[in-house]
Amino acid sequence: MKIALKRIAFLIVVVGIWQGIVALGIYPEIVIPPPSKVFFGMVDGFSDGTLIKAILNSFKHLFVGLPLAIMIGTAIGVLLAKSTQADETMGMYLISLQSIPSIVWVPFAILLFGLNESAVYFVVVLGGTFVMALNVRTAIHSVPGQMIQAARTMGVKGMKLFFKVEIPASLPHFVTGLRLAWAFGWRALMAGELLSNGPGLGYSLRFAMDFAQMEMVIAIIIIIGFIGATVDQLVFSKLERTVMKRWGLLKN
Amino acid sequence: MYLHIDQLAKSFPHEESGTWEVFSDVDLSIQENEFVSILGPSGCGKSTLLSMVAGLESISKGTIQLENEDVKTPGPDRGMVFQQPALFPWLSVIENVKFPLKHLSKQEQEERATKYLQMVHLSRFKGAYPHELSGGMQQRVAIARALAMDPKVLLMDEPFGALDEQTRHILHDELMKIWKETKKTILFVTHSISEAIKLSDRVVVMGTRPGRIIADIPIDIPRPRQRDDEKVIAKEREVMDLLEGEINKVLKEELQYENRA
Ligand SMILES: Nc1ncnc2c1ncn2[C@@H]1O[C@H](COP(=O)(O)OP(=O)(O)O)[C@@H](O)[C@H]1O
Ligand SMILES: [Mg+2]
Repeated sequence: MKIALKRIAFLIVVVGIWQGIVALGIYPEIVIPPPSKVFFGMVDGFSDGTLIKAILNSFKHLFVGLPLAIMIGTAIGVLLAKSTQADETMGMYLISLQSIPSIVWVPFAILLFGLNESAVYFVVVLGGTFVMALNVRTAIHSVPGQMIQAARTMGVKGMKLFFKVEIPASLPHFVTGLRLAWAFGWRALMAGELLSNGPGLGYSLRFAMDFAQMEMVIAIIIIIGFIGATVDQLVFSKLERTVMKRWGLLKN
Repeated sequence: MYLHIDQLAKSFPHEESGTWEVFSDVDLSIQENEFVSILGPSGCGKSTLLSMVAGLESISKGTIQLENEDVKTPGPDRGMVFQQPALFPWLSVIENVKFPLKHLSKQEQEERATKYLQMVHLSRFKGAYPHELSGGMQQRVAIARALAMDPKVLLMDEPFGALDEQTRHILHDELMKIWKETKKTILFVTHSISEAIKLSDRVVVMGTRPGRIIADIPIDIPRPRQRDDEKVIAKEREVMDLLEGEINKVLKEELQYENRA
């Protein structure tokens, strides 16, 4: 409760400073609109349905792109972890691919697919795949050797060893991979939508910029941050903590 | 002979010299229900030898036979306990003990797991998860899990090496009790002289560079053995003298290596 109070107090201070700067009148309202204007802009956006439609479309892109990224990333990760040949051949490239910011893929995707939703899906999938693959590889590598040996002395081998021991043993890293795939996928989605022709939150942001609606730009930035943090906290961090706790990697 | 190791050798591929021989010419015969310790300085190949008996490591030369059957792969006739408990953290204590019993009926699994958890005094914790237990308790679950397969031979690789002194002594007594109750044949690896002498019928001392067996000492002192018993102290002295030469050899070699580098 105390923490919640601190956070609310901080928010009030930030909004106060913001209002103060507006009151000084140095900048025209079109550059720095007052907090109230952003608030009512958000209310309007929700009541006329444009923001809701944008959010739903962004989630649609995620619900298709993210599972694809997770599946492809898991397949690549398992391959690299299980085959030294594959790892020696491709492992390095995976790291360089992961280091490419997703926005860099947008021009590539648009030229490849045209200015449409396929390009957005493509960018989301790339955004989540590499980080997922790297985490799955780490997950499988980090299964303790003695655990596998112990299982082997109990007559478990081959596919059974993989599914009954290696997969559950690597679940904590796998869940971290999921959380990061979501985080990177969400960022990639915004980059993709920003340069696409909609619909989606990123596209609405671009649209607001084109019409110099600073209050909508700020409102959408707030929404993007809010959704990002909420999904992380309510879904992925929670899942990660639950798994870590059961696996004994987290005390309390 | 029950467990028979004949002219066993192990070598690993090595970058410089092609192959690196850990030990060779290892002959060892162990009778049913015998408790044998393998004692030796770190790196002499104790774990490697035990893993070969478990079927986890391949045999480079020689044979291992258990009741006249060649040992080549892991099997339920040999249970192993490692230095780390190596429990499955996503399974409860009783599910861990049932893990090697999946071929049995549900009821049999339950009965066996319960029986061995009782034997290690952990019935109360059967629903707990490994991370909720202390290191000593985790190791007892690992022992129950290995015993639940009802193996002919129990292989233990420094099972109490990571525990504190007090817990170690408690587990020594428990292991002695379990051994009497189950009549298992136990092959126990340790680098602690007093542990080997306290527990075993025989102490097999291994040397290093080249790895080999340098002595096989029967310990005919009645149990339970007290640490301040004169006979125990005399045996410890005897083994210490044997090992001192070996340990000095390792130290000297390492020193030479340092100087060369
Ligand atoms: N998989 C392996 N590949 C190469 N060398 C190994 C391998 N396993 C063990 N060794 C070597 O074999 C020797 C004996 O190891 P180990 O059996 O663990 O000794 P101990 O248990 O007596 O301390 C060591 O020099 C170790 O480096
Ligand atoms: Mg060892």
